[in-house]
Formats: sequence, structure tokens, C-alpha cells
Amino acid sequence: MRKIRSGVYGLNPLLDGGVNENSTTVVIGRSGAGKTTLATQFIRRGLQDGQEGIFVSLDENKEQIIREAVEMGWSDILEYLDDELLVFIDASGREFSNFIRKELPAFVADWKGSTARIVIDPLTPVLWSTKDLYEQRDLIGYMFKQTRKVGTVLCTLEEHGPADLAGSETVIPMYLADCVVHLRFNSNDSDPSRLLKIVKCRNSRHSPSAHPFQIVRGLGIVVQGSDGGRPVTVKTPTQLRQLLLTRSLPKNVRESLDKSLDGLTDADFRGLKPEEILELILQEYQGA
Amino acid sequence: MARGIGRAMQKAVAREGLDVDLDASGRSLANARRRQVFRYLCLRPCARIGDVGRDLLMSQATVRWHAWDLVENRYLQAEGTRVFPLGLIEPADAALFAAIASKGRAAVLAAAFESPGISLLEIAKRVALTRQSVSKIATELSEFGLVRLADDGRYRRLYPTDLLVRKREANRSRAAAFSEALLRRMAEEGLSPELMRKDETTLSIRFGDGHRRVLLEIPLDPYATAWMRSA
Repeated sequence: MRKIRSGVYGLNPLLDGGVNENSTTVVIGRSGAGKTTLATQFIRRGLQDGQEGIFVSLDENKEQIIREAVEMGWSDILEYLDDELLVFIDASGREFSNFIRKELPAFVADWKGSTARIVIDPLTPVLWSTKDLYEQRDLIGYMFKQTRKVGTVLCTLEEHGPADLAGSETVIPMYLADCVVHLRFNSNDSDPSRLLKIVKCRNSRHSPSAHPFQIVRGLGIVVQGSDGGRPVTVKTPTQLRQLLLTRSLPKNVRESLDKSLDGLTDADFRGLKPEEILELILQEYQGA
Repeated sequence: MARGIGRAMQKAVAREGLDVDLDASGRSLANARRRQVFRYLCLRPCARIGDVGRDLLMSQATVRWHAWDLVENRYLQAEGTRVFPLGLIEPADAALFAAIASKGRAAVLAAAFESPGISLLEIAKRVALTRQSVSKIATELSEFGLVRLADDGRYRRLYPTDLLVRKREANRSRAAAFSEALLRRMAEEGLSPELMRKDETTLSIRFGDGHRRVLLEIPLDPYATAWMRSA
């Protein structure tokens, strides 16, 4: 799967190099968590690479988003707007839901294979366009499936529940999206803190930790503590490969396991010891 | 890969609202069918009510009712039985537009532009009219200065003049002023118009009443669109 750069400093290493092309990402967070900033960085990075950008704004008006981007120091988006490489779509949740139901198939047929970056900010009004949970799932699932054919999609989602990620409106998009990023903002403490965590990312390794981040004028979101500079180590898979040679296993099983270890790094084992894994493999195959 | 996906999506999202009435009774362009009539007359000013009704699948009475409302609300101007968008064309050209609004005349004019020097006999075959009808239309068009008739001894041939080209060029500043005035007029009506796109040939305005917004695409090039037919 081809990786595209997220445009967020420090995020690509946490996603094994970047966002998967033609995937859907959901960024969840409460008000003020930095969702729109992240979305703007994502779309601006694509524009810098010559990809078209579509910013579907279902809540704030486009002037507000543009003003904030300019205040952030990203006035180049005005040029992208003039050149129509970046297009804002102001719509209500109901209008956009109707677009998904009635117009999306024809639109996708016309633009299949495009490499645009599409932001939907926030997705919440689309969910609220229907009360029926089955319909919500159907609508969002269909939209994700179709839109990823014409580009790489990033949706923001408001978090409303009392506990982290417990709100009912976050469950369906989280389940259906390829990648989920959670932004937490603790503003009550005397020491306000922001944390970014990748909840899931299909077809990609990703960091399991919560990483502190800052929003810096001119740069946007900067994620700290990514291990992007740290060299990749392969101690665990190498040791496991050697251990497998010392034990008696059916030839096809050994070959298959050997192949499975190709490309794995220590990070994939998350602290599991080679001896521990070997023991479990033996339990599974010996005497079978 | 072709460019323009964003604009295409914008149109597709707005398309849903093209045919809906806004919850803004009393405001002229809040009515979906009235918007269709207005748009049609921007495309073909001074078109006959019967032709408008036939093309838009409305009764003549309905078209007349909407046209009257648009005149009352200063979106259209009436000159005798002819109606055209206020400020979009030179009022003195109303007769010219009325002439080329007819399908037969538009077809003959189009044939002259497509194949300068085409014989009247060839036009008759191409547009499925009798030789006599084509001859009559060619004379009418030449009286407006739109075409020139020439006899080469064997055939009567038709050549386009540059009148429409010149008028089209000269109309650009008028169309720009029309766009500004239209946005102002809609704002006066409380329709909160938002300019989506404006170039020399098209004006896209998104407007509504807060709950529902629709997209209206106005053709701004009547000296070309009045006689060019896609079908």
C-alpha cells in the first residue's frame, strides 16, 4: 500500500511512514482538540505535492476556516483556492447525506482513480441526518467505501461522551474507518496537555502509545516523542528464526513461519520474548 | 487524471437542491420553477413563451405567470411581448434575440457559422426545412445583418457576419454589471447569495434561507447561447 505524507510533523513515523493512500481516516476529539488544524495540514500537504484538495465543511463556514489557516501562517491556501486546486464545499449534514445517497455513485464513476485529498469536517452532522443507527452505519460505510476510490479521505468527528471514545456517535465511524486518530486536550489542569493516539490503522504498523503534541503557529500540530529517528531493530525476529532452526517442526510449517518473519521488526513484537513465542509455536505444532 | 474534481463535487452536492423550493415564500427566486424560467431567458433572451414552456415542460400559463413575477421583481425587463433579463442584453437587441430564439432561424444561423458559404439547398437538407423556408429565414437573418447572402451563379450561399462576435465582445462589461446587480437584488430579497464562481460565460450563486441552500447557474453569454443548441 502506497504511503502519502500526512503533513503533520511527527505523525508519519507513528503510521509507519504516512497515511495509506485511498484509505479513510477518522480524527476524533473534543472541541478545541486540533481536529480542523490537523485536517488543514493534511489537505495542504497534498496540495504541495500537486494533489487536488476538497474541504467539505459541514459546520463552520469556509471563511472561518480560511481565516484560521491564514492566521496560522498558511496563506498559500488562498492561491490554491484561486487556482481551484482547493475547493471548499459548504453544505448542511442533510445536503451532504443526500449527495451520498443520490449523487455519489455517478460522481465516483466519473472521477475514479483520482488522487485528491478529501476532508469532511466534521462528519457528525452527516451521522445526525438520520436517527436510525442501521441507516447511519449504512450511510457512513457506503460513503467510506466509495470516496476512497477517488482519493484519500480524512473525516473529523466531535467527541461528546463523558468518557474517552465512549460516545455512541463515535462508534460507527471508528469501526468503519481504516485509521482512527484520537486527539485529547486536557485544559482543566494548571498544566494543559495535548495527546495524540493512533487507535487503529488497517494494513499498517502504528505506534501503540499516546504522544504529546503542540500546536505551533506556522507549523500546526507537531507530535513529540515519535521514534522516527530511532533505528529500526530486528533482534526479536532474528533470534526467533534461529531458535526455530534448533527445533523439530514440519518442513512446510517452518518455511511458512520463516516467511512470516520477513520484514518484521522488534516494534511488531511489543515486548514479546522470542523464547516465549517459540514455546507457543511448539505447543501448536508438535505432535500434531 | 483530469483536474477539477473539487468543482465537480461542489456541483454534485448542490445539484440535490436545484429543483427544490426554498422556505422563503414571497421571494421571487425562492421558487424552483421560476428559477428555471429565469435561467432559460438568460440563455435565450426573448424566447417565445410557448418555446420556454415546451423546453421546460411547463404550461404557457405557468411560464407567463413566473415571467410576470420576475418582471415585477425587477429580474426581467419587458418590451412589448418580449421579456429578457434586466441588464443582460442591449435592450435595442430585443428584436434580434426574438428572431434568433426561433428554432428554425437558430438552426440556419448555426449552419452558416459551422460551414461558411454553405448553400441554402444544403442547409435545407441539414436542418430538415424546405428550400423556401430556408430562403425566407436567410433573408430575415440578413436583414438583421447576421448573415450575408451571395449568389455564385449556381447556388445561393450563406456567410456569417461578425456582428454577433462583435456584440458578444461588447457585452462582456454589461454581463459583469448584470452579475453584480443580480447579487445585490438577491441580497435585497433576503436570499443571502454567495458567489461560487464567476467567469465570462457563467455565474454560479448559492443562496437560500438558512435551512436550505440551492445553486443557481446563470449563463452570461446570450449572444452565443441564444442560437447555439446542444440538441
